[in-house]
Amino acid sequence: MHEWALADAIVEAACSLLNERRAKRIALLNVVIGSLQSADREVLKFALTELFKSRGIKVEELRLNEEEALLRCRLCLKIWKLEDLDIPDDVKEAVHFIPEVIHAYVRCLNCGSQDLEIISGRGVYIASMEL
Amino acid sequence: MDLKNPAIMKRLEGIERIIAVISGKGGVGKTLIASAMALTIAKIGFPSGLLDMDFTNSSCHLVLGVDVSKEKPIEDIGILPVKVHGVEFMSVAFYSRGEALPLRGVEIDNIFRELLIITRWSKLKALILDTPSGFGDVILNITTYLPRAEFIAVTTPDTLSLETLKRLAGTYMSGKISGVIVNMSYKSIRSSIEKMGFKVLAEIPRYNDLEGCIGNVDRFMKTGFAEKIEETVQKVLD
Repeated sequence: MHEWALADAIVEAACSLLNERRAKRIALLNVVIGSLQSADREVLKFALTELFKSRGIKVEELRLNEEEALLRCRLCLKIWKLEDLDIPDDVKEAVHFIPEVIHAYVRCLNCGSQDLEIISGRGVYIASMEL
Repeated sequence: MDLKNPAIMKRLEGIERIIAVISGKGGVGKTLIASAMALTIAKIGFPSGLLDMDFTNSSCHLVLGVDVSKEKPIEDIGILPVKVHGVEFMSVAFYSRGEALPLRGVEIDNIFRELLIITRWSKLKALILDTPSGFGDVILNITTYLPRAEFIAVTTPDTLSLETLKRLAGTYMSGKISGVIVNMSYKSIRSSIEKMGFKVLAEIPRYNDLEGCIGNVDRFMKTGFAEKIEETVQKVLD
């Protein structure tokens, strides 16, 4: 599953900070799941839990917060939600792997520009981490 | 916090050498050289990879004859590159279906990191990176995220192309250049390049039969161009 690779990236980043602080415990880990990447929440949670466990890291609280994907046209400044854009399933699958490929498929519904900016909900990232 | 560096390092740890094929000017043959290098390394018996980093205009798949609408990398705790003539190949074109991808800097940066963290390469002798022309986001990202990458610069003997090589010599990236390939050569410019402090790996003449070999790897690898690349690869790997 692709979610395992995303989880692995998060664990590597977190462990790199933990190593710097010589810590083995995370009090609170806040992870954001951007809806554009449509990562499976349960698979991601399971992968994070297993990968942290395999590294001997204790995570007291893991929060996964979903973030709505919004795109703004750089030309007419209109803001679009993902559901406004009516994206076919095969395109969603491609965007799941590389969110930026949405630029190949989507145009602003107002002016037709392809110069769209993903202003939120792009992908998976660590929002904050408390030790 | 979006610290993907450690994940990128981990993904690439089984790769012996990372070689980016770069140039200041477009149309000098980077894609053909990068593709031929990866194919040659595989041909002489080493595991090799090719990563198309020209995200807005990917074209390595065209050289390799890969139909990106049909062939897809396999999902397996990440993404496994597609194997083409012994080369592990990855490109954003698999996901954009080879369409133009209009991107700005931050988006190029995101794709760069995303592709590197999700792609699971095998143990490779070398991963060849095809890059867009100029010294923009991708080249800067390579120097930032892939500090052990080396560069092979490509130029033609034309004044404008050579001038960009001279400019490159004045940048902080010049120390990463392991050599220069002069492509479509019609006169020797070896001494000019050596005066810039670079090693000349090859001066490859223009081959008019290449156009008919795009997409046909068997024919491509039988050209005089491929022979010259094989000589160059031997020097690079020595």
